[in-house]
Amino acid sequence: MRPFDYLLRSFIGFISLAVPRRLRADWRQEWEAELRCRELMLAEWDKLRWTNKLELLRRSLGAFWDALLLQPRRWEDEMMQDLRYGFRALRRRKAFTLVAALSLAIGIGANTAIFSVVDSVLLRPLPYPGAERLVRINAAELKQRDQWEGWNRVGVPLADFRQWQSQSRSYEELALYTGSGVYKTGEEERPYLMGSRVSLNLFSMLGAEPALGRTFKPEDEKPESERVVVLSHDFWAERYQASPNAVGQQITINDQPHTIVGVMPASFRDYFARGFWDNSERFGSLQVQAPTRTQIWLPLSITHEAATWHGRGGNRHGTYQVLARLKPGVTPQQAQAEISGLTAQIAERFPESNHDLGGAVFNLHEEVTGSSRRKMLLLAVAFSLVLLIACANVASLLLARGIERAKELAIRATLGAGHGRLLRQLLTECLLLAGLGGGLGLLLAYGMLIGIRPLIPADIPRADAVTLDSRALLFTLGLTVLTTLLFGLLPAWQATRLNLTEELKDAGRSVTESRRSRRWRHALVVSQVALTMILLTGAGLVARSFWRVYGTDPGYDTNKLVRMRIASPRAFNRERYLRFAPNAEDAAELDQYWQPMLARVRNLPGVTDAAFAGSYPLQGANFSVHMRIPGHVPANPKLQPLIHGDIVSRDYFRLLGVKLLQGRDFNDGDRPDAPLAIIVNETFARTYFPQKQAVGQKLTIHPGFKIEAPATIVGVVADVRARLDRPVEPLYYQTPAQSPLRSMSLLVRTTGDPAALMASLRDAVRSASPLPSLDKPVAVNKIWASFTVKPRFYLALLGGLAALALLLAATGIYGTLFLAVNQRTHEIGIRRALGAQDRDVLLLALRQGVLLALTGMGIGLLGAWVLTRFIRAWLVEISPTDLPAFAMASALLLLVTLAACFAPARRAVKVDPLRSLHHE
Amino acid sequence: MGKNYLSFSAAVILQALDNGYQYGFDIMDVTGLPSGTVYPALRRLEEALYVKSKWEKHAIAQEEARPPRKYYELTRDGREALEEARKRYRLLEQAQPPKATETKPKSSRA
Repeated sequence: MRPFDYLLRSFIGFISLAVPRRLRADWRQEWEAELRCRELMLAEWDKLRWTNKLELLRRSLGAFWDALLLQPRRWEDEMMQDLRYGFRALRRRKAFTLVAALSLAIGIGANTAIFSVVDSVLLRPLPYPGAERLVRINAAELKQRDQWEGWNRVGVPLADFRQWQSQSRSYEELALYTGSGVYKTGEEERPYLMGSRVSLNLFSMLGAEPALGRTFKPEDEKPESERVVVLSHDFWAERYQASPNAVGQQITINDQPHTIVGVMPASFRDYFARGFWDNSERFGSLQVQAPTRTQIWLPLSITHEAATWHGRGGNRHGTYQVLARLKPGVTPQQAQAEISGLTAQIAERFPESNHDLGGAVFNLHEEVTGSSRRKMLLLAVAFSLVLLIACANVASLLLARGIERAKELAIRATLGAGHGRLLRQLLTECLLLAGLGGGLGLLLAYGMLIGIRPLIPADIPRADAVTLDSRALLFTLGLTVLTTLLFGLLPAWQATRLNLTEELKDAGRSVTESRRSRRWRHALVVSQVALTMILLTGAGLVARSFWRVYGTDPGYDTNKLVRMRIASPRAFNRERYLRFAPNAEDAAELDQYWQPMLARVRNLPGVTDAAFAGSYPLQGANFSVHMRIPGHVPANPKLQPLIHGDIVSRDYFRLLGVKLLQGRDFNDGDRPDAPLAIIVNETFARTYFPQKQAVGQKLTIHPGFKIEAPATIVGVVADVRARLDRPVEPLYYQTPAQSPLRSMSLLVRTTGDPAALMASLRDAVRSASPLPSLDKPVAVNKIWASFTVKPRFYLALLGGLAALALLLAATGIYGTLFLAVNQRTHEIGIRRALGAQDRDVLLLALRQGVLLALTGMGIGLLGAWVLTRFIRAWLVEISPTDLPAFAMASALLLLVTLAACFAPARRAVKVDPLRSLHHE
Repeated sequence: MGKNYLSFSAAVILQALDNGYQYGFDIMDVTGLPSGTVYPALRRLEEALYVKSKWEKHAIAQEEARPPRKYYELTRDGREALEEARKRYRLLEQAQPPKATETKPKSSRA
């Protein structure tokens, strides 16, 4: 080899030392081959003069720059090394890895699952093009503010809508619809359909195209034209097996033939139809049978009603909902200001009907999600607490491991690893751990969602859209990185603050922990216990409230009770309602229709008793009327209190087992020509006659504007819960004989299983009535159960969370104490040798754990006391600082932490003094 | 390396590759760029997947008693990037070296 060649080679060889090792061989060969080739070529052409040699040398200098610019690759190199090493380290410590990864998986998985729910329910925009500009406009009673929402909203009167439409400048378009309601089909299989009447432009305003056929066109609005209907995709698929021939077919709705003109796509849902007037509550007792989604849309024929102008008599409120699309650039606030001005003008022109009647504009997305927003966000907070607990768990495990690894790290540091390098190594391990946890968490989240989805109450909007999608994956990824920093930074930082001489000098077992590290670990355990305490208290409160509401007596006996809604043979209309007293036709209906039916049902074998009610306890009020009550001065002198009322037949209270507290039950003397006799509930009597005897009091009922009906209280009955999750409200009853009649519920008490009686009951009713019944008979117990779906859902979620938190906290305490006992083996050995008994050793070990747990519980109780007021929305009839709930949670936590302390303490007792001292 | 940020020297190198100059030293020859520019640029281009490298067949290297050389080729992305660059750098057309007609390069100072 010639000297020049040798020079080049060694020069390249020298520079190659700067190249990252992974790339070095290739790099070197490339440069050598290139230089050698050039050299050979020059030699062959006989041009290897010194100038050309110098040129080659100059070129080889470029290799230096090349090598320098490859430096960033060195990082990747080390990263791979860190990963490999970290992986091996995790595999070596299987138990540690398993516990840590599972902790993280629980935290990350639960949070991913709840994120998916929150995301699809709250965060994602509504599935209409340009949904951010959609608003709902309501009329609002300005003088009555609703305690829940701030506005007391009412339906929009058509006349006002017309004014808004012609005078407002904020909107591209305004559309009308009625909240979804129940429509009869007369079919045996599905007696009801959920339907909504909509104005022609509603679909186009939402940007929704039919999947089949058409939506509505102007002719459809005219009363004389053919009746048409548009079907929802689900209903079409179920009833017509998704046949395209369905369009053009006839369907009977409310006894009228309708022609199907179109089918909406599966993606179209009228989310706005729910919300403000929540159907599940309005049609509470129908919930068992009636579908919750809108199945049919009918055109709103408003031409004939356009005549009702502002002299609309007693009809202060309308029946419509207004949906509108704001013009680009117009904010809801501007629209609100405009509508306030407009309604003020209208009120000035028509003070009779419109005084104090305003308008309120709401962003549609907030409207749809509004009722669940707070609860969802609270759930998300609760879930993130669990993640924090999991992170604290892993962090304290890692801190403990840092002690074990101190020697290894010290050696690496002595061999030249910098502080940053060690930190990076440890964080890489954490990232691996978090990645493992995140992967497992994702699986867990998938499982949880499958478990949760059927439990989600139907009235949480868009619950069916909950999936684990790319957004959720992204969220998990972010969460994984975040948790790595959360649990990894502190232990890594602690572990790399090494005192090299100390670590290496100590030749024996190096398991002593620095005071600082121990303090950190104790702080972590304390915070874990504190967070768990908060979660447990929250869950305890919700559980208490649940039992208080659903576990207690509703005020009547639901057992073996069957309910069936039956239509009145004559249409119930405004005239009947405002008349308020029965006329000859009503009396005839009672005698010839309702009474014979009741008699027939009573005679059925297996039936012990039966009665009628206009409403039904769980359904809430049948109707509401204003009442002038002597001695009661309302806050707003113009507005008398609004009282819920119900029409019940004479045996109603006996049938339900509702106690008569004062006065008398309805009797034969309460005839149409007799003075109106009413019975009030206990709350009514307590609220309006706190000092006086309620029986015998006379008051005035205002069923409509300027319409009066004097009445006398003849009795007081015990409270019956109308709405399970709200306090009992004042309520009054009157008899059918003194009321205009309408659809009624038939209530039947059976001797045996109600299910066996359904068919004969239906036959009996059918033979007595020429009309189809409004629905199938239902056992009241079933309705009752359906009412608990939502609170059970929240309770299950919170309870599950609290259990997870408890598990994690117990693991944390167990681990900490286990380590402490391990570290003190030597000390315990000496104590034993000096005569310490089992009991002494046990107490020694337990003391530390119990002290930590008690500190954590103290802080947690304080935190819970401050924080539980935020879950007030979930609590009924229970204060957020309810003592039994706090006590229960504390007791449970104390029990679990004691159990977690006990195992390590037992281990301490088993320490053999001889062996532990020998070890040294 | 973003697709739209091709430096002029990188474009010139792509151009050279397109014209059939495959080895680092040959590229230096035709472009006149120093080795400290050409090699780092090649590595970056390779990382951006505009260029891929292969080792020469062993037989050829053995015949000439030297280690196998590494040669570079344009990828489809690289070709597209070059087209793009040609639009941006109008001087590139003029900077175009003659097509390589022989596999062996001319001497650097010949």
